[in-house]
Amino acid sequence: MTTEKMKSAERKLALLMLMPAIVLVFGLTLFPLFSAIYYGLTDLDLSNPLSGRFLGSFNYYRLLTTDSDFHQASMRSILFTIGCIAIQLPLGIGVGILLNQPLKGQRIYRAVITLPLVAAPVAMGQIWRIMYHYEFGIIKYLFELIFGWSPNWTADPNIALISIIIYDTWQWTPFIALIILAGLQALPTEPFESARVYGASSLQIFRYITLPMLRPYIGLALIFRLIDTLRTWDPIWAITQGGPGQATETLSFYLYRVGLKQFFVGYACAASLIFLYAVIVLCSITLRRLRL
Amino acid sequence: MNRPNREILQKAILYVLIAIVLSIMLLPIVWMGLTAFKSERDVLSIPPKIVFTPTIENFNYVFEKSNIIKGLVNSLIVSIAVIVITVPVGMFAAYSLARYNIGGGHLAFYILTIKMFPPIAAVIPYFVIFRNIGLLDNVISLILLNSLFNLPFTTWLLISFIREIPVDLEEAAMISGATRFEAFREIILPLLRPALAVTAIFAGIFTWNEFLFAFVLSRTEAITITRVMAGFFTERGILWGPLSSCALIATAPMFMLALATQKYIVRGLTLGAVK
Repeated sequence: MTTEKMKSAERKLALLMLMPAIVLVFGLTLFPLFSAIYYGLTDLDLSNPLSGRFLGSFNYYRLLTTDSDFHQASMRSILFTIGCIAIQLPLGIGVGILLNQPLKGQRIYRAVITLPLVAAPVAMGQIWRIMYHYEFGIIKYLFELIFGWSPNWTADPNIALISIIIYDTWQWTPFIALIILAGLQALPTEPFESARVYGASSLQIFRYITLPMLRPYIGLALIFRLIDTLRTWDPIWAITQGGPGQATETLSFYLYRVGLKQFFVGYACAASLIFLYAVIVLCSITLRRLRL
Repeated sequence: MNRPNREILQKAILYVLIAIVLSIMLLPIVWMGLTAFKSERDVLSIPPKIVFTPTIENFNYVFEKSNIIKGLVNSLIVSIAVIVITVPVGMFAAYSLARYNIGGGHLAFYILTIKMFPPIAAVIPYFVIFRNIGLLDNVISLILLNSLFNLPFTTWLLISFIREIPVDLEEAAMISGATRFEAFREIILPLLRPALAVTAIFAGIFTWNEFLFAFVLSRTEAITITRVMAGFFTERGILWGPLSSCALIATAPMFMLALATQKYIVRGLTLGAVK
């Protein structure tokens, strides 16, 4: 067999091996995507068999101009995402560094903080709902014990979103900590040794050596958290169901209410395409800026 | 303060910090375990009880009054089906992408963008489609959607594992007369076996824990374990005890799997980007 022939045989094999994935991915994404684009241009309402008329861009016009629920849900998604990342990133870095100290029982610590990551969010969310309860909740009890006062975690519209952020921080800080830990263990030791030789303080070493060298790991943690916080749905359902009122209704939850509870599918599809577009743009910009 | 004392103090502070972090991490899990074995009166007691007489009445309730058995069976069926679909599909795709780089990285990136896809945005058109073709409340619809959303993860994770295997191994085999596919089967596949096991376990955990698709697409027949957990909201209020025992039954096996694959958990969750 000549090399030319071998090359083309290899190409065929490579394509053949890719085929199932291509069929699965394109088959399962393109059809619903085009359906969503089409539905988004209609007034499709699953509770009304006469609906489905073509509206053109009216849904988009309404979403972008007059739908204050949509605007508030977008704001909440942004707040939730920024809140989660702003708390979890420094906390995660701190815990990661803590786990990297030469202490006894390392493996046990690592094992314990792995647990929240694999627990079903809907299960743990409901347990947190019990812990947040305004009568018999343990968190409320501990707060009253320590501070003499406790907010009404799930029923106060000013607090409810914070309660979800606290839950998310519990579940996902370990993820950042483990990434940082992996990063710390992969760092070369020479820069730290020479910095010590030249008399740098621990704080200087952290600020000018550790942090810059951890940058790619922090970037990865950031992009994964960004993708996941924007889509968070399960714990919101489990803890507050979007309430009280609409206080915890993020974009994900807004889409569920409009599309799958009120059945305004056409309108929800238009909104979900705006959401999808925003997520992809945001993630691409972040990916590019981090140069991962 | 002299030096040894200072070091002891530093160590002590670190241990205290670790203890605080671990207590916070464990509190909800421990609370789930306690509430699962509490009688209704103990669940509602103020202040919350840590010492109480354990009872299995919640478990009895869950097994008698809810369809948890069906939920467990369906979750197992869907998880295994997703593993059976995505691991081989992901493996072939990963080998092809790792060794040939077809599509110059664009294809691999397209597969990755599915990870960015908010599931709620996908599930609305899918709800209409499955409703029209009569696949609502059918495990097939859950298997399809979970397979799609797990494929980026299996593919990318396996790409990272395959890149660790030197190309020389296959080339040496091919020089001695093997075809590329034989080289893959005889050399890569055996080396990849542990990676495939890890990938399968993760795909299983993700699918088992999945809630949104199950909540929207299943009612009674295709009910999964996470969907069962949503069923403890009754007219009498929320049944906290049974809910907790159901949550414990759903999460305990995942805790064990996670401890078994603990070494790989970061790698799995970052799609292989962090070793």
